[in-house]
Amino acid sequence: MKKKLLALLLSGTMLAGMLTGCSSAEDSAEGASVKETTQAAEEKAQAAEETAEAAEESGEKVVITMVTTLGNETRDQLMKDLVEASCDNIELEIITPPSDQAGEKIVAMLQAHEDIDIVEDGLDRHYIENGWIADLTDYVAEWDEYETILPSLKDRQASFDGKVYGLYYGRYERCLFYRADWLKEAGIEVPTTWNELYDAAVALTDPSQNRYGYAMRGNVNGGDYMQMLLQASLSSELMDLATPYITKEGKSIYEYPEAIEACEFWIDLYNNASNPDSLAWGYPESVEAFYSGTAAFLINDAEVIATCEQYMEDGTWGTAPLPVHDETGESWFPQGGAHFCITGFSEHKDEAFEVLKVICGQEGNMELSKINGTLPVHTTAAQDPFFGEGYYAAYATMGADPNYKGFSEAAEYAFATEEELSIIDGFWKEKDALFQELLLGELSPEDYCADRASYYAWAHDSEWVAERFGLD
Amino acid sequence: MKSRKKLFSKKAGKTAFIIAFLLPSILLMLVFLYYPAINGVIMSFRDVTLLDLDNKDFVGLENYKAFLDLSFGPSIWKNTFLWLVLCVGLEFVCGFGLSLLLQTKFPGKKIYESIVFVPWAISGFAVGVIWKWMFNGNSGVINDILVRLGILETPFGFLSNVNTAFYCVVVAKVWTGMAFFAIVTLAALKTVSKDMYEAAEIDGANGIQKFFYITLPSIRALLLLTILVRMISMMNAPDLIFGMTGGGPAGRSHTISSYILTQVISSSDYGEISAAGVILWLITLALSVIYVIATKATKGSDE
Repeated sequence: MKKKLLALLLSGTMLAGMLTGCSSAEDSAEGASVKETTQAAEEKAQAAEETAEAAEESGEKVVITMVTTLGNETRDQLMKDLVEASCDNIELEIITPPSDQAGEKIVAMLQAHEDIDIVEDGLDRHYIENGWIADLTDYVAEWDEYETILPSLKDRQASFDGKVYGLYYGRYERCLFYRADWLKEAGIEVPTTWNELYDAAVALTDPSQNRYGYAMRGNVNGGDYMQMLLQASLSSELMDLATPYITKEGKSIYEYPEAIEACEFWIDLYNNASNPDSLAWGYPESVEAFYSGTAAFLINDAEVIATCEQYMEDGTWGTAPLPVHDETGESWFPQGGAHFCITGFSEHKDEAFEVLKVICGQEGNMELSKINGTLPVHTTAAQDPFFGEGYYAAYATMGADPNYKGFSEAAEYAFATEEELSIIDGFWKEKDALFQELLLGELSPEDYCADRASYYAWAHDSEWVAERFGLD
Repeated sequence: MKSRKKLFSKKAGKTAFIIAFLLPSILLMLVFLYYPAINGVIMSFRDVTLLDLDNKDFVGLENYKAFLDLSFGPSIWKNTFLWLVLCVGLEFVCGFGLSLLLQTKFPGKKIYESIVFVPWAISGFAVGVIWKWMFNGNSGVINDILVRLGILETPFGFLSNVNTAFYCVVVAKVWTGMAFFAIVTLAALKTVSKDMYEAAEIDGANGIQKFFYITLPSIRALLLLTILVRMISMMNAPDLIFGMTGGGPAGRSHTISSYILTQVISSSDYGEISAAGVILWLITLALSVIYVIATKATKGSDE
């Protein structure tokens, strides 16, 4: 009997424990209760601030927890070292969820108001609207080094509603990688325009030697590269940096005849100058095709420089600014911005901003950029030989040339209404499959462009589009 | 009378005792299995996007229509069917063959056994990445071998060809999955009494006869159930397709489950994803019903 009682007691305790566990999990999972939790978190923050002050007085370090989307041991160690060297009272702790599920994991952490002070890539409309991200406008106003941050990045930081919600610590831009030895052998100059790139790529293609002109990316986000050509052909005359998918006439970029021309150009580039297998290639395969010596040209981000340095001999390859459009002379490209935000519910916002000042400041950012492969965010960086010479020189050229237009991918998200956003969502749904159908010739350029344009057709009647571009 | 009352109360106490023990697991299942499942079904009839969670209007069968209208829709159905039949069929044949070979004694058998069973222990995503590079049309090892042997003149894009990509994934899946059947059948084969083989030998039966008249009938029920269990898990196995082709090229290597996985990642239209999930669930449910019926029908057949 005693045994039975004990067992019952145990099972009861387990049940009770489970129920309390469930109720707190449900609270955090439901969007509706976010406000309540925010209130609770604020109270908690107040209490913690007091303890933090007490800790400071007693000489204990404040632990700032940072969640990053992409783990990088060297970068993380450097950030820790930088913080340790400049802030006596702060200890930086870095958490990195596995990259394939980092996004969902971070959303879950923010939703649950877990103990996080700094979050990477937090400039997200969804995050900001839920109050997960702190407003840093007052903080940057008192930071003297904020003045030398690239103006384009300043605009992007404040693009949501005029307030600053995050600080960029690096930018990613594409450039053109080329096989210097093959070009020299064939007596071809490094291409500067899209047509020159096409001609050179075709000339260097020789399937019998497993040599192809262009390392095409046919899978994951392959269509984005073709889009660069389309945007460049429409040029600043029709394009606005803040709405890279909608023109100043309030139309989708895919509604113009230039879109069909861009498709045809890309189909030719695939058929005449690329490995047929590249239809299935994503990022790793296309990069591998370049450094393994089976492709002459590759358009990719700056971090590929480190990969090429590792696998290729000096002098056999080089980097050049992205090709410009032959007629408009412009180059349009998505510019990635790696950034950190402070959480709205952080208990140590002041200390967290101190950390950001170290990482995003002129000196710290230069060091970080060198080991991280990202491009620095301060105008002062161009004077540094590391970024002004060698493989990075292409980026210095692009940075100085006003014809190079780096935009934030899908920047119009910051303006679009809920309804418009739900329509745009369809744009991303089958884009890789459709782009592959286009390259295979199963889908005509006209049908492809019509499909792409349909997700931005709302722009014709959109109030904010009309207002922004002064349309009737 | 008194004793009967006592008996009754003893019985009731026992029932309460059992219920108290079952309650935690029932509650766990309700909260973590049935609540999300039912919520998913409701979501499939609603307009749910991650961008606007406050607005969840009921849209009837719109989500189902959107899923069935996909341009590569027909190939999803065909692939899902082939995925079940080809993968399970080939895994079974190869796995069974393997277990029969492992019945015999040879030097280094233990080492060989461990090597054969390793693929089963590797994560599907990792296997996907390994095989993606092996089938790579630029520098993949399979192309390299075929070109060196003179079978191909130039490398062939296995994963970029709409007609071959899906079958390449099947090959990789069979490579990992046959170990499962090998393990199960190896265990089953051990239950077959040696006496029967000895008796058959005395009667002059040859190897093939012994296989068809003793081995197969003895483990038939177990094999059938294993195949059904494997089919159910195969329905819900998108990892390899995701890792190797991402459903491409042009969506032609998607099964329902891999389509759901890629959409959860790239789209925020959870309504449509839920609709696809419900369809997947119905198919799995049908397979489970067959399994339950088969379990009852085959009960005692081995005795």
